[in-house]
Amino acid sequence: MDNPFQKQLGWKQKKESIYLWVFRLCTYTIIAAALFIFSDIFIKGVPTFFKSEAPYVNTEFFTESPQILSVWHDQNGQEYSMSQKNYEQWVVAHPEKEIVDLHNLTASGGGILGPLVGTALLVFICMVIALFIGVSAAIYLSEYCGKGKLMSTIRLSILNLAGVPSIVFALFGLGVFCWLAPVITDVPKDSAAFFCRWFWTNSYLSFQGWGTSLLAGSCTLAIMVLPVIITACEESLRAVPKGFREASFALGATQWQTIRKSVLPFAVPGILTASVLGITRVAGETAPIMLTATMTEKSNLPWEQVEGPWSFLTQSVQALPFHIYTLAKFPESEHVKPMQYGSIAAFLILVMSFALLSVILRNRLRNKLKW
Amino acid sequence: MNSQLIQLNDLGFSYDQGKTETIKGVSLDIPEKQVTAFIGPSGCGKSTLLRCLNRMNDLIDTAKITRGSIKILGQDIHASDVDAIELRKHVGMVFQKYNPFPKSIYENVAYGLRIQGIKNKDVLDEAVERSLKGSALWDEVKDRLKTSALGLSGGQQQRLCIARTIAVQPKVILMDEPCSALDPIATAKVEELITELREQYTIVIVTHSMQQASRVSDRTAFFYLGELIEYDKTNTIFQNPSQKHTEDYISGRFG
Amino acid sequence: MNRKSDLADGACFKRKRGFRLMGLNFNADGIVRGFFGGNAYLAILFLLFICIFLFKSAIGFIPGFRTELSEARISGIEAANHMNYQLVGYDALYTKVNQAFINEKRAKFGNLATLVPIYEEFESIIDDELEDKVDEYTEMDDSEEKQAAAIKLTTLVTKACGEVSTEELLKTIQSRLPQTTEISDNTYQKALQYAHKYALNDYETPDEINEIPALINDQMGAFNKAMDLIKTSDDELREIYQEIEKIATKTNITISDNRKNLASITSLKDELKDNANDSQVAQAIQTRIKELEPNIIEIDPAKNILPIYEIIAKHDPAADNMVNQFQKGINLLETAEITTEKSTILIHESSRLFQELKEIVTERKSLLAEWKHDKPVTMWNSITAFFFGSDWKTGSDRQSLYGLMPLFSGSLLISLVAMAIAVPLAIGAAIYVNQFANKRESRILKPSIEFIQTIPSVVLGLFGVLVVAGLLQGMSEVSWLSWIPGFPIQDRLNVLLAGILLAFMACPTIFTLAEDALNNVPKAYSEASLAMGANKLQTVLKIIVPASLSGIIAAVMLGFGRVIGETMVVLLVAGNKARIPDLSQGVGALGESVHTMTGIIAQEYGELEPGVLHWKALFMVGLVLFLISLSINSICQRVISRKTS
Repeated sequence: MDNPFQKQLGWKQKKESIYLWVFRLCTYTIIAAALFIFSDIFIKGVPTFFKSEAPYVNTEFFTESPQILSVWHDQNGQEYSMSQKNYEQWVVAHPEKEIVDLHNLTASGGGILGPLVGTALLVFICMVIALFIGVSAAIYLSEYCGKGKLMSTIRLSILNLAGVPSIVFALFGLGVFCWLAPVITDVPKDSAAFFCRWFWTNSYLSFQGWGTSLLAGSCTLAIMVLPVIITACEESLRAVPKGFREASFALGATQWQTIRKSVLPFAVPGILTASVLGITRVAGETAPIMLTATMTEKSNLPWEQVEGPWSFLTQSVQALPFHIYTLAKFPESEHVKPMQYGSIAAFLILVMSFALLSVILRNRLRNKLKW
Repeated sequence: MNSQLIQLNDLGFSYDQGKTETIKGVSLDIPEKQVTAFIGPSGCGKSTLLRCLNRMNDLIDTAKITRGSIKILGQDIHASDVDAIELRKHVGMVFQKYNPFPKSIYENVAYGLRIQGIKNKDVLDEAVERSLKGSALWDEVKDRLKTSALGLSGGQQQRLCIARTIAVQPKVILMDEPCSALDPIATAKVEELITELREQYTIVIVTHSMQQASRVSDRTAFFYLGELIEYDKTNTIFQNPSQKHTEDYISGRFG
Repeated sequence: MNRKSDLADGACFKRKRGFRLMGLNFNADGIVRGFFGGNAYLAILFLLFICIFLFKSAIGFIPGFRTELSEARISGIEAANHMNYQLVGYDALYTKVNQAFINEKRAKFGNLATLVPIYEEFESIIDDELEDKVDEYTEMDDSEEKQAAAIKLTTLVTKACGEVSTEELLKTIQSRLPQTTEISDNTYQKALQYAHKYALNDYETPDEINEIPALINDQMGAFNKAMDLIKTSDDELREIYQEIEKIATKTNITISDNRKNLASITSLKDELKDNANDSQVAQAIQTRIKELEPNIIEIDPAKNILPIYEIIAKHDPAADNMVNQFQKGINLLETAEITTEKSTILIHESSRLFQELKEIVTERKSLLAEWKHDKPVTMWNSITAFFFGSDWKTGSDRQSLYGLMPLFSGSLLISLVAMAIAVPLAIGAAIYVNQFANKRESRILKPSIEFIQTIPSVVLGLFGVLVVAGLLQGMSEVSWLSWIPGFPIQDRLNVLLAGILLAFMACPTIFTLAEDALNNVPKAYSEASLAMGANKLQTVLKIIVPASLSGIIAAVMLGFGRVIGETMVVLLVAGNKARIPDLSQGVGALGESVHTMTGIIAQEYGELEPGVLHWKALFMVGLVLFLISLSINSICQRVISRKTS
C-alpha cells in the first residue's frame, strides 16, 4: 500500500536545514569569538604569572606595585628590560656595561599588587554601602509599601536608572563626591561651595569634596549598583510565595517576624546572587573610578603614608581596570606585552571567578531551599 | 477491515526512555467516520495515547514507544519513511485549552494552508469560509475576520481552533478534552459541532465527562492505569459494561 | 492564668504599647520599619539627586556658551571662523587630489621613484663604510693609477652594497614608499651605477638623481599643471584669514580676560563688604583688587571691529578666486590621462567634494555679507550651536567650540554598526538555543553566552587595541578582500573596530532578553502549529517569533542603550577624533576615526575646575546621554510590562 505520510523531499525541507545552519552558525560565531578572546588572553597572559626558574611563580608580579619599566641595550646589542628599581641595582652591579638606547615606559614594570589591593578596597567599601542601603530599601519597597501609583513609579524609575551609562554616574560622582561632599577641616579650600564653623570648634564644615579618593570612588560605584541591587533583591523577595507570608501572619506573627522568619530565608539565594553579580559589575567598571578614585602617578600601597582612617579613605588609589587602561596606551611596544596580558588575564580570572561563584551559589541554595 | 482507520496493536509507551510504561500494551481499532471517546480517571494515559496518534510525543526528548505499533490508513506511523510533519497534516488536533495564534481570525484558519505553500487568495478565502461554516462560526465572525482571534469568547476560540484544524481537511481529528475549559453553553455548541463533523471526519475525543462521552460518541474506550479495560459501542459501555472496573467508574464510585 | 483573663475580656486583641516619643509609637516593628523606610528614601533621594544635579550642572552651560559666542561675535572670531571653514574644506579636498597625484606618479614612474631611495641607501653605505677609500681615491693625482683605483673602488662599492640583502633593502624602501612590492633588477643596476658615480665624483650626487622628481612632475603633464593651480588657489584666502584671525583673537582674549577679571573684582568687593570689620583681611583684599584693576584694558569694540570689516570686504574676491582657480585645475584634471583605478576614484570623489566646497563658499559668502558684530546672540542660538554645532574643539587658546554633532554622530554610527552585527547574531543564537538545540547543547550554550557579559569592557578594549585592530587592518589590506567597500581601512582605530567589539558586548544582553522573550511564548502556540503539520521552521518564523516580537524589540533596544553608553571600549578603539564621519563616501566612512559622547567625558574631565564652561559642556553631554538611555529604558519597560500583564 502507498504510504500517505511519506516524507516530501523538496525546497521546504532544504529551507529548514539551511535556516537551522544559519542559526547554528550565529550561535557558534559568538561562542568562537568568546573562545578566541579567552584563549588569546590566557595563552599570552598566564605565562606572566610564572617563571622558568625556582620558585616558578613570578613573585614580582604579585608582590610589587606597577613601576616604570626601563628598556636598554648594552654595547653588545644585548637587550634588557627591567623595572626601574632593578635597573638601578643592575647599573651598580655591572659597571663595565655601557648603556645604550635607554627608554622608560610608564607603569609597565613591577607587578599588580597595588591595583589589586585598590580594586579590592573599592569593591569592598562600595558593596558595604550598596548592600546596606540596597537590601533595606528593597525590603521596604516589597514588604512595607503598597502597590500605589507613586510606588510603582518609583520602582520603574529605579529600574530605568539601572540602565543609565556608568559614565553618567561617574560624572555625577566627580561633581558631588570629589568636589562637593562635606568634610570637616581646619583650612577650608577656596573652591568649597560653602563652609561654616563646625559647632564650637576651630574646624570648619566645608563643602569642598573628598577629592580623587577611595571614598569618592566607592560611593560612586555604590550609587551606580544601587538600582541593580534594589531591583534584583526586590525581585527575589517577591518571588517568595505569598502563602508563606499569609501563613505567618495567620499565626499572629508581626510584620518583622514574618519577614525575618518566613520571607528573608527564602530570598537569601536571590539576594546573594544579586550581590555577587553586583561585585562582578563593580569590579569591572573603569569609567567611574577613573574619574573619581585613581591617579596615574600613585605608586604607594594604600596603608603606606597614612595617618588615621580619614586620610586612608580620602587618598587616591590604584585600581586594576585603570592600570589596564594606562597600559592600553602602548599598543605597539613588545616590552609592555607581558604586563598588558598578565594584567588582563589576572583581572579576567578575578571577575570570572566572582561570576562563577554567583552561579554556583545560586544553584546550591536553590537546591537547598525549594518550594 | 477497510473501515478500521486506526489500528493500535499492543502499544506500549514510556515518558522516561522505557523505564516505566505509561501505556501498557493497548490494542484497539478505531473505525472511520465515527466518534470514539477515550474515558478514564486522571493519569490513565488516555491523553498520552491520543498524542501518540499524531506523534506529538516526539517533541518530548525522553518519550519512547516501547512496543507495538500504530497503523493509520494501514501505514505504520513509526516506520522510518514516515514524516511526522506529513502525518500531522492528516491527523489534526484540538487541545484542552483553546489556543488560537495571536493573529487575526482569518490568518488563524488560513495558517494550515499557508504552511503548505498555498498563496492563492481565492483558494484561501474559500477555505476559510468553508471551515468557519463547518465549525458553525461563520455567522458570528464573518464581519470581523481581520480582528484578533484573542478577542473572541472562549467557546468561539475553541471552535476557531476546530475550524483551523478542519481547514486542512485532515482524515482524523484528535480532541484532547476540548470542552474542559468552557462553560456549559459553549460546551453544548462544541458538542453539537462534533456531532455534525462526524459526517466527514473520524474523531477521537478524550473526555473527563461521562455525559459528554455518552452524548457525542459512537464508541467508547475505558482506560485505567495505562491499560485498555473495555472498548465497545457507547451504548453497551454505559448500559451494560462487561467489566466491574468500568461499571464502578461510570457509576461514579471512583475516579 | 493571666492569658485566660485577657481572653475573657478581649484585651488580647489590643495593640501592644511600645514607648512613645514625640507623638510616635515606638515598638520593635515600628523601629524596623522606620529603619528600612529610611534607607529606601535615602536611596530614592540619592537617585533623585543625581537627576537634579545633572540638570543643574548642565543647564548653566547655555548662558555661559552664549556669553562666549557673543564675545566671539563682537571680536570678529565668528567671521574668521566662516573663512576657516572654507579653508578646512579646501584642505580636505586638496588631500584627496594630492593622494591621486602621488598614486598616479607611483603607478607611472614606480621604478624611477624607487630608484631614488635605493640610491640614497647606497649613498649612506658608501658614507659609512668606504669613507677612507673614497678619500684616498680623491686625493690621487696620477691618472693611470687613478683609473686602476677607480675600478677597485667600483668593485668595493658593488660589494658593500651587495651585502645588503634584497629583503632588507625592500623593507627600507617600503618605509618610504609603502606600496613598493619589488625592486626590479634594472632599477637596482641603475642605482648602483649612480652610486659608483657618487663615489668617484667626490660625494657629489649625480644630476640624474637630482632631476628625477622634476622629471616625473614634468611628465605628469596636465595633472602636474592642475596640481600647480590647485596648490596655489587658496593662498589669497588663507592670507586674509590669517590676518583677520590675528586681529580677532587679540580682541577676543582681551574681552574674555576683562570679563574674568571683572568677575573676580566683583566677588572680591563682596568679600570686602563681609569683612569690613577685619581691617587686616580688608587690606589684603584691597591690594588684590588693586592688582587686578590694571589688567582691565579698555577697548572700544566699535573701533576694533573696523579692520575686520575691511578684511571681510576682501573676502569675496579671494574666495571666488579660489573657486575659479580650483575649477580650472579640476577641468585640467579631466583632460589628464589617468591610468590607475584608485586615482580615477579619488579624482571622481574630488569633483564631487569640489561641488560641496562651492556650496560651502556660497553659503559662507552670504553669511559673511549679513554678518554684523553687534547682532545679539540669543539663548536659542546658544542651544542650537550646541546641539547642531559641527565642531567640538577644546583645549586651544582660541575660542572653544562645543558642538554635539560630531560626538553624537560618532556614538550613533558606532552603535548602529554594532547593532547591525549583534542583532542578527544574537537573535539567531537565541532562536537556535531556544528552539533548535537539544537540551544538553542549550544547557551549555546558554550560560556560556551569558558568561560573556562578565568580560570587563576595559579588557575588551585593550584586547581590541592589541589584537583585533591588527587583524582588521591586516584583513583590509589583503588583496582578494579589496572589493569590500571601505577597504583598505584608513585609520587603525576606527568605527568598524569599535562596532565589532561593542557588538560582542551587546550580544549576550540581546541574547538573554530575546531568549527570555522566546521562552515566554506559550507552549500551546507551538503545539498547535506543529499539530497542524507545520515544520519546526514554519512554527518558529510564523508563530513564535511574531508572538515574541515586542520582547525581541525591547531586547534590541536595551542592547542599543548598552552600546551607546559604553565608555572604555570606544575610548580605547574609536580613535578619538572629533569630526563628523563623512557619510557621503558610503561604507568607507566606517574606516574613519571618530569621537563619542561617552569618550569625550572620559577624556576631557581631567584637570577641569568645576564650574568652568568646559566642565558644564561635559555635563551637558552627560545629560544628553542620560536622557537617551532613560527614554530607551522606559520605552522598553513599558513594552515588557505590557507583555507580561
